[in-house]
Amino acid sequence: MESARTRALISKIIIYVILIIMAFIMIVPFAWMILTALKTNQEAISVDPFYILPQSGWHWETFTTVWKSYNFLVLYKNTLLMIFFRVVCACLTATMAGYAFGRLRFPGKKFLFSLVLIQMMIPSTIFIIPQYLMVSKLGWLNTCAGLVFPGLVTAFGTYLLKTGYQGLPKDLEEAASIDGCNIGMRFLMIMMPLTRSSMVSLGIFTALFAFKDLMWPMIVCTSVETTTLAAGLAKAVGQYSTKFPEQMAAAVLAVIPMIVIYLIFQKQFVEGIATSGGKL
Amino acid sequence: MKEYLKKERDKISRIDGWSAKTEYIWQYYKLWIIGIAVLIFFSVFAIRQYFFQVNENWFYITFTNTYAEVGDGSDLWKGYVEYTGYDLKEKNVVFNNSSYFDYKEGVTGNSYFQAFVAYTEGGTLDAITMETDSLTALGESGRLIDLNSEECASIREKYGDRFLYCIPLDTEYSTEPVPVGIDISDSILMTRYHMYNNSCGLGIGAKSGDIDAVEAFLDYLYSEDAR
Amino acid sequence: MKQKRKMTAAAKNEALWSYLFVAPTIIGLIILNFYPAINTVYQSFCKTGDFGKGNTFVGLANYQTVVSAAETWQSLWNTVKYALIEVPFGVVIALVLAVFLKNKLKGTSVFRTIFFLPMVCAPAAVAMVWRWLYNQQFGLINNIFHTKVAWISDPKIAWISVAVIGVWSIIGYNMVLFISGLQEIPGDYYEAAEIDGATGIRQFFNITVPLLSPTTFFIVQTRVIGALTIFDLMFMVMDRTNVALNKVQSVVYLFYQYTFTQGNKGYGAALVMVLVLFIMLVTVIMQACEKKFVFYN
Repeated sequence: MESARTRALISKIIIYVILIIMAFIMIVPFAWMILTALKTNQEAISVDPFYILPQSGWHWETFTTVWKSYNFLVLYKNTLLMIFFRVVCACLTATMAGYAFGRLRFPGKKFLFSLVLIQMMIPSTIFIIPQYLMVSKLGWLNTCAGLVFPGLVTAFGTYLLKTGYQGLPKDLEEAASIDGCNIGMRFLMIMMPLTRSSMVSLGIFTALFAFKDLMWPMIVCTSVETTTLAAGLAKAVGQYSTKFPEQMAAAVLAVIPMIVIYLIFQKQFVEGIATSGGKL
Repeated sequence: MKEYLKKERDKISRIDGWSAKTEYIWQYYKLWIIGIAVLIFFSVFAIRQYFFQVNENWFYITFTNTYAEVGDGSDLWKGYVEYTGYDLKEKNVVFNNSSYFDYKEGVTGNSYFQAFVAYTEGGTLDAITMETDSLTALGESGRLIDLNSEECASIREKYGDRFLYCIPLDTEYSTEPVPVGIDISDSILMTRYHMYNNSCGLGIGAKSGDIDAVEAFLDYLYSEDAR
Repeated sequence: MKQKRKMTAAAKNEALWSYLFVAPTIIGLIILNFYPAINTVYQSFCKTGDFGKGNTFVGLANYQTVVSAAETWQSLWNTVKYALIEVPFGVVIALVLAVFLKNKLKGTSVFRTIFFLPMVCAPAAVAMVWRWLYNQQFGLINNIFHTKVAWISDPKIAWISVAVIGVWSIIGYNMVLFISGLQEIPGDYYEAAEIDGATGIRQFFNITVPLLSPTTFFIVQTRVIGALTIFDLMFMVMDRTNVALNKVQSVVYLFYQYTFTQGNKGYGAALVMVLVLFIMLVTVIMQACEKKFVFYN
């Protein structure tokens, strides 16, 4: 008994050590962003590793200047709106298609699914110009709809949800079909709630890609009032600006809502265990 | 489906109280409700935008690598609109002053450059300004119009002595220098707005459909009322 | 296989529902992605017109140049090498971390948040950090080990240095997917194993790995595609003048050079078609392996 307990303790310590080392490796750029924001420009461009910490005091005022010089609230609003619509559209279309591909039988399934796979193989840079032309013809330039446009459907999400549905046990549905539920109801009432954790990860990824996407907002939303955080900051700072502390301070401020969104989603993950763990 | 609807309606009518009823509907159908709401929002928006938004431009110019105040609504913009007398209810005039790329320095992964490509290939971009050496470098890629072409005859007549030349990357097109830009270093862009440090060149997008507007812009820069 | 039975009413009903469910996605993909893609296919048969001239049809000429160019095959080989490092390491490390985080340890949500941070960091910050780490004179790595290795400009090792960044930046993504996959494994399996006295490592190989295989397959499949279309890593840390660029640049990087930088869309389109065909081949092989390695309950 004693040896089992020490063994458990040792494995726990090993796990913690690995996790802490990994956490350190992962946190470096983020810490770097914050530290750079607090330095002077001269210190920021120095590559000498002994200047990790700001030498001439901590310049917190950079954050206030940056906050005042950009219209952060408008940028936050636009970004959150775009993320919201993209997440809703992606989850809705992907869960429906994923269910059909994962659990139903129909002629042409293989062909249609191969379309989904092929979409992922094509480098996304070739889509940008034709999509821009469509948005401009629709008159959606400088609008939220234009921002959401390429995110209306998602091949990645469809594949993800298909995997999620395939993993569910077969007998679940059979019971329901005996009860006289039609396919739509079975999907809505039984199957969809069970793929919650796949949906949450799709939500996280959709939000993340939408948040990080710089190219698309920059092309369709040229005015600062309608654009997103990533594009708005890039626009204001300019690609060749050498004011690294300001750039990093703006980036840190931009990241905060994203972390909040992740924390909310993460809670869903933990709740997922409670709801689906017992049933299966 | 009909049967199901009937069953549901019965079930809902049997629930007591409005809050409990809405609670039930929301719990079971929230995703459908959100989905349909989004769909309706989008289609209404799409149609409205399609019919009421001004989609086309009289003139679209990008001023790259400058922090000068020359965007929409600036003095320069107002002066140009007044000079040409364009009706803004019909089409737009766009002065874009947030774009930062330099072909000489490499543009791989530069989003502003990609936006420029999209605007050029889409035929949106009519003209672009930058320092003259950057402009001739950019011209090598064939994204700016060949000023020897017929469409530019009138510009050639007026500004031919200011042309900037480059040798294209595509040797099949020409191995001789091709005029791709107009040197406007002595214009108000430099003297009044101080857009660049050394020089200023203007190029025309390869697929621009508004070459008259570009000519009008050049005329405006050197007109009496601009000074 | 080729039985042409008449569909029963139930099968017809099922097919009808299926088409209803896939319609939004498929229509969306066709409008948003396949229409542009077909345009690219067409362009690959054309010589792009410069300076405002139209395209001219040249047949297979672009493909001939692409296939006979040494740089095409070099870049394809670079891409494959990159994928061979990024995919296995990215998947295994993420899997181990996800399993660790599933244990009821204190502070798991803090770790989960920290592992998520690289994904939200500004690309500029990421590039700066890695340039600093790899710097030949002042870089942290060379300072710690007292070496003078040119991590990103020595053609022999630059591709490994770039792939390390790839692994680093992808761990978080894979981990989120693994965590969600782990949620769907019923808890009673582990309880039963614990009663039998199976150790953590045995549980990992006997329960987690087989039951997680659909998720793992999904991640491997999407990451292989993702790694073969890698692009932004190449310019993030490497200058245009870097001598090792030839041995590192991916196919998409080369495609970007031709299509966007030089404006030679026809050639770029042919190049990208070669890449897509290659990825398709890999995908078909992987899909064939799916039944062998993946366990569905």
